[in-house]
Amino acid sequence: MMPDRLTAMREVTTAIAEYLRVPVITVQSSAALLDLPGFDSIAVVAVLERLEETFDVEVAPELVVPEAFESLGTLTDLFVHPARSTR
Amino acid sequence: MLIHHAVLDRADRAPNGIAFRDAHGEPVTYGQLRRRVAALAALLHRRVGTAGRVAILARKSPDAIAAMLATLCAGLSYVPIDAAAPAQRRRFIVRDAACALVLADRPVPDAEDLGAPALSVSADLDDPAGPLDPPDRHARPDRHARPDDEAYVLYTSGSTGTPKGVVITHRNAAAFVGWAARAFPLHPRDQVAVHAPLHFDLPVYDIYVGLAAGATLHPVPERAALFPQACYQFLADRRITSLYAVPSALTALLNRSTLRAHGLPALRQLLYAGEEFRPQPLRALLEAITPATVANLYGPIETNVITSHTLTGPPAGDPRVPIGRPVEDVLIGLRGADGTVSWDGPGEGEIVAAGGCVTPGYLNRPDLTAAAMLPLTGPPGPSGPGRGYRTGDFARRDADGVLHLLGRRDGLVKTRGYRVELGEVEAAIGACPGIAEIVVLAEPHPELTNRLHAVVVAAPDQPDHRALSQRLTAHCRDRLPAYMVPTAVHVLPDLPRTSTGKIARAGLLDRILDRAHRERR
Repeated sequence: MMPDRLTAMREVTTAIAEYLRVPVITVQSSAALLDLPGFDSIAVVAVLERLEETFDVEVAPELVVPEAFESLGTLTDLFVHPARSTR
Repeated sequence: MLIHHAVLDRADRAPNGIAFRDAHGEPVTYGQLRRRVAALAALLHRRVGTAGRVAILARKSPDAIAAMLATLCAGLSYVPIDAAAPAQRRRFIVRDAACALVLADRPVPDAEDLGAPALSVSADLDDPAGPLDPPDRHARPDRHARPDDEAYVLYTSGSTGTPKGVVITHRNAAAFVGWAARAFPLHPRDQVAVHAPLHFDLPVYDIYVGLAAGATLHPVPERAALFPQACYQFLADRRITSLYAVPSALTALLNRSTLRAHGLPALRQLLYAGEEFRPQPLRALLEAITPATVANLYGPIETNVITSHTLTGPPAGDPRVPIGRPVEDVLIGLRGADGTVSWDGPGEGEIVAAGGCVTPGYLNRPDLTAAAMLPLTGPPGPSGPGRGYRTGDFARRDADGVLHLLGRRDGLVKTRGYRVELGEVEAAIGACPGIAEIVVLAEPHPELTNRLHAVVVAAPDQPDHRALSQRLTAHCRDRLPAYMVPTAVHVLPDLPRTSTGKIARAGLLDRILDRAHRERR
């Protein structure tokens, strides 16, 4: 599946909000994803796994770095550019 | 010799050696460390006096480690506090330990009301306008700690709803450090990762064995702990030779970084502790880092390491890796169901540890101390008084004297190498409005050891379960460290009961996992 960016970003937002059990608006308005309450190493893995399943993409470990979790946009890019992700 | 004296001696002998590389790779020499420790010790001496505790509320850094050493040099003791813990927990610890001063790596707002004045751990001590008055600048503290004085206090999860402070004396700390320096010696050429957080007991090895040996310490940035690939890159770039970490972090590194592909060619020893390492990922890790020496160290915070097992090859088949034999000057007894303690020969029972490493007890909690300590009549202890610490862990001793862990007697579980009393999590959740009943369950997990699930029954006036689950989570995050916040909340109409009316924990986990699985479909 090759989602358009907006749809993908909505999926990413929902995945984070549901995992962290915070309102969607909290995720949308956060300046940095890693500053969200409870966004720890488990959350990183769990959110990533769910999105990998949703988008049917496997993200290479080299791409799972703090920079990718900077914002909803950078995280979404991991999934809407699968060419980058499977490099 | 006290643990910090060996570090100061090394600094005096080799002041040009590199003690640290900071987060940016910048060096701090032993000479610079020595001067900072002396200046800060003088300041602490003036501010706190000759007895008392200093809280260290800081992420891993050369300055935070210098603060620990300075506290000991001033004859005081330190209380490392998880800087990421919720404010309420930090405040509890500072107050419970009656800390006279807080050394923090960030401004502490007055509103936080820690109950003690705060000072920057990175304060510029050479600045003429800095916190030192000129006459005190080179003053040396006039009091030296004695072996039975407290060196530091580590807080750990308590079953009654609040964390408990484990007192470690200089004698306790020196017993571990002395053994570890002989069993796993470090050298000036070693590049030592400080991987575990400072409020944990693993860094005691990295810091006191590493600095006494003249090695270079590399505090691993906290952000790297979240991202295995960032952590791997750090270990590879710094050419780390010694790594001491918990299995869940190592498993994440194995599964979620390029470690398997590229290995860690500089690594010569890997020590792990804190929880059991599953044979399958352990085998894969051994392959990835061969020929490094790998050892399984076992011991609760109350004693630090009490048994050790060096792996001589990959675990064959699928047996659990033994915890090994007692370390130097530690006696391990197995306490049977009838209360008798056996000190040798094959058998099974609760692990009881005796020796110089055993904590005198918990801060302000004589009740918990009395419950954990066993008066011993049995064989003469190696150095400690006639008492043993009941670990709550069960083990089997085989015919060769090697110990194998069997399980726990209570609600204590491990997650990500941390120990968690399920009762403490239940107590925190139980205090959240809108919750009628609560049970916390641990689900075994390949990377995290255990994942916590909160199973709750909502009060009748709480129809919106999604909102309740969000509120309960926020409630936990305000009170508990991240590793104690349940990863999932399940709202059930009621909880299953046994015939005696107790919550039937058995089978409940399968039921909620089934339900969660169905809901995802």
